[in-house]
Amino acid sequence: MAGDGGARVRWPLGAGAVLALLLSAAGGGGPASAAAGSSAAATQPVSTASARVVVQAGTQPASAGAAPMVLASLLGPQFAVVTDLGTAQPSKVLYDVSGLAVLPSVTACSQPWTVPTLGTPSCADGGRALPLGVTTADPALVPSPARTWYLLITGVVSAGTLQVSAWLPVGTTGSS
Amino acid sequence: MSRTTGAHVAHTAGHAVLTKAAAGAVLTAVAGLAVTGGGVYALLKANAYNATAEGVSAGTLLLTLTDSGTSKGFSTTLGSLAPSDVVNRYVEVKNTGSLDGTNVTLQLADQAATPSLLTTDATKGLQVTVTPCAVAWTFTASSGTCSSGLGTAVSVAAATLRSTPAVLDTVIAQGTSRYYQVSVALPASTEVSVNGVLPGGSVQGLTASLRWTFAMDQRAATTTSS
Repeated sequence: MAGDGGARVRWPLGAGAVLALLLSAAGGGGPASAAAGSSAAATQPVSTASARVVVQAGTQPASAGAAPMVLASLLGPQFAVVTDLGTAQPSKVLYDVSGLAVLPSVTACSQPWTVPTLGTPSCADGGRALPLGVTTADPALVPSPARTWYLLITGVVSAGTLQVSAWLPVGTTGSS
Repeated sequence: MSRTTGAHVAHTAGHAVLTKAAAGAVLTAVAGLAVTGGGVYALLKANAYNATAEGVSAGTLLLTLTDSGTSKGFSTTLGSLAPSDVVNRYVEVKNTGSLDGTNVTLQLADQAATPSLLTTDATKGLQVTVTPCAVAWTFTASSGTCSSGLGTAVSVAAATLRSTPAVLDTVIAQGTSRYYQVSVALPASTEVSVNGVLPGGSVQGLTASLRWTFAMDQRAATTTSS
């Protein structure tokens, strides 16, 4: 391991001790006092996790707009993508809107929504409604660095914003 | 005139004769003194020495640091720590020299170009707890056990450990090992990132490069008679 290579030894005579020895040999000063010490060292990298969840307007992460998502007052559906730029799986999440007197309906899908020319958008996995303004630890609703959520937002009657907050997980203890 | 001259010559000649005689006497006296003096300084001498040479050797003070057993020790990264996470690693520190050691200490350095909050903030940064054991720790995925000789745990912030070494043991005899459980924790905290932006002063996404240095001093010097 790194520690083996990092071992070093200090033995023992510094300039002061050498001077003391010389003085002693010349009949002056006291006996030389030299203490020995030894050490061993190793280097270990450490990093902390991060939770950085972003909700942006758009249908694909590559073409998503700025965060937070600005909700326009539209009768038709609006789409957003939720991505996690962090390094750790968040433990809980809060989807919330601001500036809206009436809460819209937000449905999350694990895949991009299929939008027909006429008719209602559909989700391959059926979709699940997101509770707004409620912190949830439901694994089915918590974002992950490994997956993207696709949101369908309907019922926006006035301009506002949609934002998402994420929490790092509860700590764990590990031995290795 | 000539008589006077002759007398002077005779006197001179006589004087020369006396001078040679005196010189001879002086030489004789010096020779005598030399002989006498030689007799004074020619003392009898006797030596004795140990037939078998007395060996002398200086002791050595050597310390090694290795992973203990199957532990990853300090050789692998503590990755993606989250608040309240604790990672236990196990190391063996051995006094491989011929002298007993004392005052075993641990000090930390962050070799990152710019140390982060992890090692500069005593409150929000890493917390270190070191627990000595006389035998190798046995451990599971989540905990460790010292079956004999459990020492007193030392808990200190990494930021503090950078400037002030922590004393772990008072003695480490030559040829013996001490086994340490080194627990690194990221303190509990509440942080909320909104729209992908980390809060100010966040502990998220930080890194450090920890250099753990165990050190010991030589035992106290002694004066013995035998």
